Order: sequence, then structure tokens, then C-alpha cells
Amino acid sequence: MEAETQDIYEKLVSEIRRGALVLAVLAQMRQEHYGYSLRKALADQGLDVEEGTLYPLIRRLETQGLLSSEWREEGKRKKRFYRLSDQGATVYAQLLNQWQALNKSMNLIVGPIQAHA
Amino acid sequence: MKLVESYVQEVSQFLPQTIREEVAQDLRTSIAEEVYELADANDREPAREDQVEVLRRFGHPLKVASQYQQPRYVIGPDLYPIYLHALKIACIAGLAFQVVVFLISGHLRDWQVGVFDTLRTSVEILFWMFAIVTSIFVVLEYSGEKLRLYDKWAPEKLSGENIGVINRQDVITNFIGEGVFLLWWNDVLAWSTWFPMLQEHIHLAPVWHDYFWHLNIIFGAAFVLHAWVLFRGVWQHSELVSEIVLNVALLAVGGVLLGAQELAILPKDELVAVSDHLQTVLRTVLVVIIGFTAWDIWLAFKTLRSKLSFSDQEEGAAV
Repeated sequence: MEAETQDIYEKLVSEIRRGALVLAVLAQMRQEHYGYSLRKALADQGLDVEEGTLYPLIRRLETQGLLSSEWREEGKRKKRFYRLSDQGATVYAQLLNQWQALNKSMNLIVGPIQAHA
Repeated sequence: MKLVESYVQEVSQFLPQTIREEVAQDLRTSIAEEVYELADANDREPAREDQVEVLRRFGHPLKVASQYQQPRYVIGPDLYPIYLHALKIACIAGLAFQVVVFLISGHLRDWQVGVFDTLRTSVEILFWMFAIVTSIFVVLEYSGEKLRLYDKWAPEKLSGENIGVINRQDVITNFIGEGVFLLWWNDVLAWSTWFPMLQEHIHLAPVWHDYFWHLNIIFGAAFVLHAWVLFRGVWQHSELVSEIVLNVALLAVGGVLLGAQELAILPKDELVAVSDHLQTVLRTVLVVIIGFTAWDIWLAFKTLRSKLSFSDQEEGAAV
């Protein structure tokens, strides 16, 4: 029963994180990043993301046209730098509005329950 | 970085041709970045253990490959419920069709079929129904065609007569039982290969022949009713009333048969000794069938009554 509850919890957490992660990546990409620096920036702000999840996500966002990329040499190593494209900036602004509205509602919904608890 | 290259190859084999090269290059770079950063953090040149550590964090190649692709389903979650529903309907329709075709062939051509052949045909029909319905839904899934059924649904179209969800196992048992009875009763289903002694020596008493059409009508109607109810999945008021009426009719015929002097005749003199036992066995079987029929009537009545009392409460609340 304990393991089943843990399973349910983990699935729900992963569902919550999936959407939030896209927003977090787009937010970070307002500044230029390469893969590792993005992962580190997210981790420094408390959002640890597995490499196997983050790199495919970056590629997906780029394929969708939300990120643009260029190869550059830095510290004798060739790296691929990403940043938000114009289309990405528009989508990011819309997503941010949605997120803020949702966050406001959730605070109202969860707030009283927390007070009860 | 041989280890990294092997890993990239492992991932690539699970990727479609169209994106394989591009993703492989992307992955190579991403992993290399991580390996170098890890080595830098340890203030040394990249070593094998750095590669191992980074690859461990990336995870199983299959998992990473799946992250690089859009989720694809043979039949996805949008279509699956309606696929399952369509599959059930197709199987029921197929079996009903089999019974009807066998009955017509039996009557028109004086044709008989063995139990094994009947079963084999049923399994073949179920297999083909599964193959056809599944193929159609796989095509729908892959063509990206969306069924518009969900959009077409409107609450106004609900009849308001739904009483309760059917017990599918019960109704399927009845449906199959009625199909088999109809085939046997109309001399289409031959038992001779399985029970040669029964077929050759035992015949039903004349009292059964008086009820040939009665039983055909009762079982035929019940067969159609149960096929329809399985198709819909819920009982409606009129269907439950029909169920009760048919069961009461069956109860009446069963009662008359139970009161008959003899239920079976044994033409061979040497078998007269077992006649009494045979009558007892047949009577017991009839009693069991009557018992189940009475139980079905009670269940249907109970469902009907609970709906009626619920409606009364609703009306009371509305007043």
C-alpha cells in the first residue's frame, strides 16, 4: 500500500513538473545558454532536471521554433548555444500569463486547505 | 570517448531514420559537455569514470530515445475506449450473425453442424472481428483522423430511461446460452460426436414438441434482447420489463414441462431400467433452470423498483 501511494505520488509529481519545466527552460533561455550551463542554472535555483529529460526537451523546443541555436567555440571547446527565438518569446509571454493566473487561483484554492491542515 | 560513442549508437538504434543522425550529433555534444564540465570540476582531464558517471545520469538508452520522440501509440488513449466498445459490439454482432446464419442454413438445407465446428467457427469469427476492428483503429490512429463522436455528443440526446449498467458477464452468459439452445432446439447443433448414446437412444417426450414455437419465440426474443443490451451497455425501463416478461413466460413453460408425466423417452427396451433415473435427472435440470430464471426475474424486478423509488424521491424533492 505504501509503495502504491509512492507510485501515485511520483506520477503526479512528474505530471506537475512536465509543464512547469517547459516554462522554466523558456524563462532561462531569455539569456543565452548551452546545455550544461542551462542545467546548472536550473539546479542552482532548485530545479534539478535529469540530463536524459533536459537535452531532448531543448531539442524539441528548438524543432518547434521556440529556441534558436548557434555553434561557437568557448574555452577551446565547440558548444551549441541556445536562446529564445522571437516566436519563443511570444509563446513564453503567453505561457507566463497562464502560469500566473493559474498560480493565483491555486493559491486561493490551496490556501484555505493549508490553513485547515 | 569510446563509451560515449557506444552509448550514442545504442540510443540511435531506437530512433527513426529521419532524426537519427541529427539526434546522435546533438547527444554526442551534450554528453561531451557534461563529461568535460565534470572533469573540470574535479580539476583533471576527462577520464573513463567521468563518462560512466554522466552516462548513468542520462539513463537507459531506450528511455533517452523515447524522450527524443513524440509519443506514438498503436491505439492511443483518445481512441482506446471507443475501440474497446467497437470491439465488443463487433464480437457480439459476429456471434449473433453466426447463430442466425446457422439457423437459416439448418432450416433451409436440413443441415447440421457439430459442437466442435460451431466452436471453431465462433473462435474464427472473434479472431476476424478483432483483426478487422483493430486494423481500422490503427489506421485511424496513424492517419491522425479524429473521430468526431465526442464532439457530436449532446446531453439532450440522452433518453433519461437508463436504469442501470448491465452485469456484462451475466448477460453474455445468457446470450451464449440462448444461442446454443436455439441451435440445438432447431436441430442444427448435433451432439452425436460428443454424446452418441444420447443422440441415438434418448428422445424428448412429445410434451416438448407442443412447445416448439413457444420456446423458439422466448429464446429468440431473449437472444435479440440480450444482444441489444450488450450493445448499449445499460438497461432501460422497457428492456427490463421485456426481460421480466420473457423470463415469466419461460417460467410458465418450464412449470408445465415439470408437471409432465415424462420428459424423455427411451425406445430401446433394454434401457427402460434407467428411465426413472433419466426423468429425475431431466427434472433436476429443469428445476435448476427454473431457479435461475426466477432469480433473473427477481434481479430485474429489484433494479426496476430501485429506479422507481429513486424517481419518486426526485419528484418529491422537486415538489
